[in-house]
Amino acid sequence: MEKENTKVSSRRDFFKKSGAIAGGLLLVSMLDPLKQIKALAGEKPKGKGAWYGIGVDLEKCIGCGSCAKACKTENNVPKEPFFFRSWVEQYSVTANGVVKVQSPNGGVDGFKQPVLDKEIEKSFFIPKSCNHCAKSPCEQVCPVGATFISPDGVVLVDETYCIGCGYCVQACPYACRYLHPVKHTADKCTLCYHRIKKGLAPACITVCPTGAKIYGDLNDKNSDLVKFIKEHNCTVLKPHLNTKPKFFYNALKEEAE
Amino acid sequence: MNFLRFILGCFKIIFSGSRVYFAWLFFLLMMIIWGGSGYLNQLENGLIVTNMRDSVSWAFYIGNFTFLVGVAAAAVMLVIPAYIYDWKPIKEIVIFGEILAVCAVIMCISFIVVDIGNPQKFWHMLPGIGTMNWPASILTWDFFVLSTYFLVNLTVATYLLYCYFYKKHYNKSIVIPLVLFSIPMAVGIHTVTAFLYNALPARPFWNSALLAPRFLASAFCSGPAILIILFQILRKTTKFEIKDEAIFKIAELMVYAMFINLFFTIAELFKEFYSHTEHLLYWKYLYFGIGKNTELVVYAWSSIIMSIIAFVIFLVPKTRYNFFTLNLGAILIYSSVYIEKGITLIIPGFTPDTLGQIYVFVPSSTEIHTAVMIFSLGFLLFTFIVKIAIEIIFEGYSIDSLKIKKTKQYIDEKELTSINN
Amino acid sequence: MPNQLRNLIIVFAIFVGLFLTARHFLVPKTFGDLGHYRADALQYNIDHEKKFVDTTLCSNCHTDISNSKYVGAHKLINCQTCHGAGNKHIENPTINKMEKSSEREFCAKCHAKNLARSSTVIKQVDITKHNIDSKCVNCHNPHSPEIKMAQVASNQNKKDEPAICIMCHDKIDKIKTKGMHKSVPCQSCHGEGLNHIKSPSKSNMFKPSKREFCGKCHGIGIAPKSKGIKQIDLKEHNIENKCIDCHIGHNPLEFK
Repeated sequence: MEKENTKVSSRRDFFKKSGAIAGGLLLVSMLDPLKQIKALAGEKPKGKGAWYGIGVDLEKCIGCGSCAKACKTENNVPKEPFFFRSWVEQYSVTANGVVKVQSPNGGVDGFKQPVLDKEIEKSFFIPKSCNHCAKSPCEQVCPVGATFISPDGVVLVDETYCIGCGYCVQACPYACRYLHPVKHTADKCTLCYHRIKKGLAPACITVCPTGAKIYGDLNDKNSDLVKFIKEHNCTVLKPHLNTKPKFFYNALKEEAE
Repeated sequence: MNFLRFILGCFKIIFSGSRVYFAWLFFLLMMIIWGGSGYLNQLENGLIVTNMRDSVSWAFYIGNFTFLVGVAAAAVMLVIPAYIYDWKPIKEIVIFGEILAVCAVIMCISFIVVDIGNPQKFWHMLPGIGTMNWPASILTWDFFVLSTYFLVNLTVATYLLYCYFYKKHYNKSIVIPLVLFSIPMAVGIHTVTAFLYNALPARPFWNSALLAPRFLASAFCSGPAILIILFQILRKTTKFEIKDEAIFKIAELMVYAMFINLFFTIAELFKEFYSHTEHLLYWKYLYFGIGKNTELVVYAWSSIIMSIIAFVIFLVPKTRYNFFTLNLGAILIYSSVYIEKGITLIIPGFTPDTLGQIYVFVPSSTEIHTAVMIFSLGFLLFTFIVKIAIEIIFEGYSIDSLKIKKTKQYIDEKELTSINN
Repeated sequence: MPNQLRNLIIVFAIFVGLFLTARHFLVPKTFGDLGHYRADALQYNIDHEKKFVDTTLCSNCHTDISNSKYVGAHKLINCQTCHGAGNKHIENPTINKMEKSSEREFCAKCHAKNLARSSTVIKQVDITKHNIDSKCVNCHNPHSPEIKMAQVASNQNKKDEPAICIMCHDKIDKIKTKGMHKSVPCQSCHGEGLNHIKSPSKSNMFKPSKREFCGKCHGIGIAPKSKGIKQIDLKEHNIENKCIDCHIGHNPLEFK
């Protein structure tokens, strides 16, 4: 009997100790969630620092595909023709309103000179990439917080943390995400975050031969982008979805909206 | 200690049985190995070995997932008449519905795990130790409700079996609240699964408020359909008992569900086709095809036709009370819902894609292998638990059987030694 | 407090303890600093290696090219638009060469005729018609496309000798050197070409097609007799057709 008693009491001791440890840890980690809540409560430095966006003058875009090609090089995007961070589409509209969209290999190899088709009334190129939405649906649906909006308004992916569920790929109305076949994580345009933070332009903008594409800080009244938006009649893609995209197009035709 | 003995008893039940039983186990095991080879390939090379691409980024796996969530939810539907109306003939078999729910949820979660690129990081989604993006992401909600539902049903099923095993009366104050809790949970898991799709304004095909109600209605058709067939098989092959009355009652309840399901489908079709907005494109692709791309038309129509035939069969009392037509109807509605929740739900959500292109998705052999693996695993688990339940409930296997065997063994040994001496 | 309840509480406490310990180690350190994400992920993205370099690095070595480039229509184009990323080349210029394409299709990416291209933004040519025999870079200096190779050469010589014609029409020269007309200078048939060299698209060369023109050299009784030039009676030899319907002008013993 005695033996059993000591056993019980020592077990109780153990429980007490572990209980104390647990309590201590609970207190320590109570600080963690508070930190998260604080961050959620709106300490996002929207008004203070940079708030990046992109602009494209479609009148100047010649559909050479340099941006799409440079993006693949700069960001090690897989060569297969269905992985793109940045790509170019050509819209062709016939007289009776039929819209045809082409994007052979995302425009990486350029567009072949089309055979003259008298049916086609107008045609235009649209370079596309992540719109870096201020209310991005991809960030909203990510189950683990691997996709986020950086303090300067760039939508990024935490590759080391992404589980690759692909939910963000469905959620993106602009089809700018894909699952990386090697990393097995979601992958997308980062606005060349590694370049802009060092003061360089993103690769696509660096190589654009006509200067059709620009980027800039929307909080800086003197930035190229803010001037561009003021001077041109800019629209965004799918404005009715209210995702607040920050990719501004000048002279966007109604067929593409 | 008592619980360990219960587990021991369960293992004894699992590892004894007829030749047919072991042949069935062997067959399932072979299917698991065959399917597993496909999944190993996917683990090695990533999701690129599936036919899911940028345009169609969720497909076969998620279709099966959605269907099985429906099965899991509807399996508990039997609980409603059993406990709320105190309908005795069903009460004994409610536990089988719960077992089906448990197995279906396991299959669901397996389908999510195989559908993600980095399964080893799955724990990032767990509450607390991971960094669940709750409440923003519906996927975390879905995972959360599925886990809770799984735990509730597992607890109830295990507890009931445990009590039967020890020939005790179960404690009503534990079981009843849990069972009642599992009813809104059953509705919850399917609603949240519907919200998973519903929450994406980027995919207009899914962005309809009717999606969740339709999910529930169709689930309450397919889940009981499985049970009706299953109970008949069990009744023939084991000592499992169920009265015809109970089966017909389930069928009667299914009629309501089938009517509501058809009604919702018609309501949705009317809204889409009459208003004729740009979102009609996906419905057009589904029911009529776009240009030469008519891949889904056969499935879409066959699903609707099967659903109507099944409804008529179940509605007319003459055919409802006839086991041949009843089973035919059950199979038809099951197939109809499997198509509706799989291929015709997922694919039109992506097709035509945002570029207006049509990517024709056909599951790759890896996907079929993996799905076979998961289904076989689920069936294996279900076979085990059902066998345990039948032996404990209907064949009187209990703690005494364990003891008797032991004493018998003891006597045998004694006899042996005495003979030797 | 009943024993069972106390045990239950203890077990519960252990679970909570284990859970919190696991959480302590498993949740990344900087998670939640800035929002519902790992704040370190920002630095992770910044640390990505850059490939496209500053073009001042290009002009440091290739001064002559950059000088010629800064006067032409391509002055605003980044070197790496055509030549690819320069990160490897600047590390080891001898081993890692830049991309260099002289194919017509390469230039056509920008300059091919396309309804979607604004003519005020970019000069376009119909690449199925525009001097299909030659590569673009044979005539145009890619770094400053207004400079035409032939024009530069003729300015230096003040002449329009065949060597200058060959710069753009090298494929014709290859055909011509195979046949009997190899020693005949281009100007003998096509006339003076100084205007064409100045503006090739506006001032076309003379393209002879009449029987009488060939007859000047090959017609019996018309041409002065000389050795090695085939003589033909224009009044008898296949009178219904033009010479060039059958013979290839640049290599007359080959037939169409």
